[in-house]
Amino acid sequence: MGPRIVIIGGASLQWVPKLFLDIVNTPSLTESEIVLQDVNPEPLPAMAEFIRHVTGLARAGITVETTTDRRRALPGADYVVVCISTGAFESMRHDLEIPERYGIKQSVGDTVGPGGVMRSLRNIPVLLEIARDMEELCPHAWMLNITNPMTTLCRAVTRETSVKTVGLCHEITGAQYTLSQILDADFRSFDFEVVGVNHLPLITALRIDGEDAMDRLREKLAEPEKLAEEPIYLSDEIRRELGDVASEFTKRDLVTSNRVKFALFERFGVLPGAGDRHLVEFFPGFLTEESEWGKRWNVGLTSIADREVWVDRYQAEFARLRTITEVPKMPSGEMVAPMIDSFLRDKPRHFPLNLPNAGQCPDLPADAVVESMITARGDGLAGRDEARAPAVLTECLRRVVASQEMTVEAAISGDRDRAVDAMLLDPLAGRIDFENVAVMTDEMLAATSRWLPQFA
Amino acid sequence: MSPRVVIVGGGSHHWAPRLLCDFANTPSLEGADVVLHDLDSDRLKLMEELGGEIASRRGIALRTTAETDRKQALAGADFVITCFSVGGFDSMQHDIEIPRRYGIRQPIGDSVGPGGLLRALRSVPVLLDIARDIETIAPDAWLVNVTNPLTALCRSVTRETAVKTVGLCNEWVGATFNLSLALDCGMQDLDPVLAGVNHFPLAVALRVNGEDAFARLRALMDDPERAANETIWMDPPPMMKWTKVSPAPHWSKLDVIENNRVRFEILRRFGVFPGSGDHHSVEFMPGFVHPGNDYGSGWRVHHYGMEGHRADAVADVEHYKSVRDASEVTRMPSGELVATTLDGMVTGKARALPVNLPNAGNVTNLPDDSVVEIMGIADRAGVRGRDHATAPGIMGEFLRRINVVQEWTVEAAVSGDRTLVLEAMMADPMSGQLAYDDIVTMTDEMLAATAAWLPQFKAVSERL
Repeated sequence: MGPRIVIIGGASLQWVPKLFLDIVNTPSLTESEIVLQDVNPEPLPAMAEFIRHVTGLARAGITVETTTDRRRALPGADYVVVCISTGAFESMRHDLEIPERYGIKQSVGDTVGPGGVMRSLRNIPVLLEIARDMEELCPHAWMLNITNPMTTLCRAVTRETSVKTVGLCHEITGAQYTLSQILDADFRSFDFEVVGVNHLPLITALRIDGEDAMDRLREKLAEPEKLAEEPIYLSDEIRRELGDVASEFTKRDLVTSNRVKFALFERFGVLPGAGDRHLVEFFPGFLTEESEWGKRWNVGLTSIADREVWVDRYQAEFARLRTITEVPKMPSGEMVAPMIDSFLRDKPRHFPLNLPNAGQCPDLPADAVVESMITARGDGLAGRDEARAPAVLTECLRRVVASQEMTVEAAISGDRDRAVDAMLLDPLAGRIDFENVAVMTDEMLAATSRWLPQFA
Repeated sequence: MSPRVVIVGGGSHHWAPRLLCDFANTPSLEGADVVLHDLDSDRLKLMEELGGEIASRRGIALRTTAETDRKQALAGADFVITCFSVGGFDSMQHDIEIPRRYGIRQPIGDSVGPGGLLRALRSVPVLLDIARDIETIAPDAWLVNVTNPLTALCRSVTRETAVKTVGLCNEWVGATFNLSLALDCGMQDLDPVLAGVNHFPLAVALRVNGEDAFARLRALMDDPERAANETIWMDPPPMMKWTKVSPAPHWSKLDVIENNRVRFEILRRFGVFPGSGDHHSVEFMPGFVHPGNDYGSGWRVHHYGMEGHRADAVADVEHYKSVRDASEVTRMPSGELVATTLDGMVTGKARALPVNLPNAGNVTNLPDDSVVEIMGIADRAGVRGRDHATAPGIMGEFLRRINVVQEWTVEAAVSGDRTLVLEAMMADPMSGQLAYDDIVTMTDEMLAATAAWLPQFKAVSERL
């Protein structure tokens, strides 16, 4: 019998199809018992039907059930995947629009900055409810959190409950893809050492087939003209999508679309592992009026309208997936399925994961949730390295951690002053004039109060 | 036996008159052997004469001599007081004006922020030279530093030498005056627990005659009408540059609050009372001097600018002349803590006062050995910290952040490493707010403009 995998937010078009395809392609998981739980019953049957359809195609033994009742989903669970959003775009709109009126433009707004703080305040109580149910109904299960802001959410759960919790994020996988292109190296030949927090993981060691590749990367970046002549590998699918311009893409384009990442690499000698649009929110010196709010660094500001386009795309993709006649074999790059496989088969694998700091990031506070290389095995997860970043970046991380710890405190206590404190400590929100930090926080709390029962 | 007190920078119009008068007013120091050392022999002569005048007017044994050779001056010293400036206004104007072009307005510019940082880079090597001389010539002497930036300078000495060092600053004295107005008490009635760094020492607890003063201050803040009606026991001296806010014809407690808006806001919101004037505190919390609030005008933050600093220097000369020309030596204490500290050490009569010393668990938020401002005791055994305290909530984090910058500043000053300067600028709360590329350009510009006073950076670039 396979594991019982409960997905909270089980109707998510963004997450469930790709997580499921990974599961069906993982031999140890083809007998899984999947439970889709969602507060919205309406899209659940279609998702279940898709899962049954693909299971049939793959001749696998996966079963699927759906429910809106979390307490019915959790008993017997081995793994609980959490992909939720509290208030969706309706609440997120305020995360972006209110700070903008105070002179803060956010490129993503889901991690740190005023938007990230507010998103934490909304999601933490929900995550804690889930975790408390797990403590009661499936105390041995792992919580696999892929919801943002990942660091504060995982931290709230590990601070307040005994649930085994890990945060999984694909940003480093994205960096790995970029690096494999620039360095002409097999995606699977990479290994990293990482220190940081989610969306600001710093790659302090970079190895290809066990050999240090930092200098190789430096040499490549030193010759931009040469990079402009080297094409990049694109899959047939992407080529089709891009059409005629596909052949025009060179390695130089990869460098210019990761300008912040490589600027920080040049200065500090470590490579930030998240996309530039995330990185700049930790270094607000990039998101300034002088840089046309990131434009000069090729960072765009993701709006709600952009996100609505993404949703349309997820919907179109899901419609296509529902009628496939062959199971796509391409791994999604998400780590949920491979990590569970490592647990089940006691097959050690190394992943960049978010866990409480138990020494894997010796320069950051103990117990704070950090992102670092973790070994997954039959007996669970354990830090692999002791990674250290250069002083300035370590200090940036410490400041972010301080703000995140305060954010968690605010979310749990429902204390408005603690929310202001978190904003004051935050690199983006704390950058405006003192009195407006409090005024902006009040305005954001008021605008989203229906999703913030703890502040009532 | 009368102590030998060496004043390095003894030609200072600001410091020499104040210190000499305070010594004359302190029985244990009125017979001191004061040695003034300065690079400017003309001013040195003036201050030597002033010392002689003070002694003869009072009929005390105070002996003042001038010595232009530092090593000669230091021989046999019991205390070495350092008050100097490297480059004076010629260098300082770059500290203020270059950052201003990048959108940073520093009310003072001598503690932290880009100006404080560059000032440390210029002053640390000079102070270390002095300290190394003390190490060999007068190894048992106490170095009493009053030069800014106090924290970085004291830290460089305790980091690099074995010299016993204490930093003294008068800001808490100013705080006690303001508090005495708000609390109807004597300045001596106040006893704080301090945790912080110089120019941002935070009173985390405050007793007035044994009673909790914060509760009384909060009650006062919560009732502005009452505060506006309560007259204060003394009108604010003009040098404090207060604005009259309360409608009453007399100066009231509301005026105290309104002319210390930042301090009282920090007390209200964070439960600690900054021991420095608002113009200093805001350099540690630059959200108070932000373009979004007109650089703190609503908070009544006074910006000195170069004009203000120059006016202070003019006032110092006037003050010197008034001391010189007065028929009697003033009995009014200067408010500086040097004489009190020396008195404690000379007589053994324990004196409690705010001091800057290496942290020995006194501020639990900050690493040991970094220099902190705390309440200390001066007695026969020297100067040591008195309390152990924690800065609460986010103030602890703000202190931790500034401490990191100060440690890097010292490291940069000692090593002459430009990259370290840039890194300290990036981590500094004020300069770190700039656009990423502007921090780099501004740092280069400031280093270039003041290169004449930064020999240690030249040495490094020549080595390369």
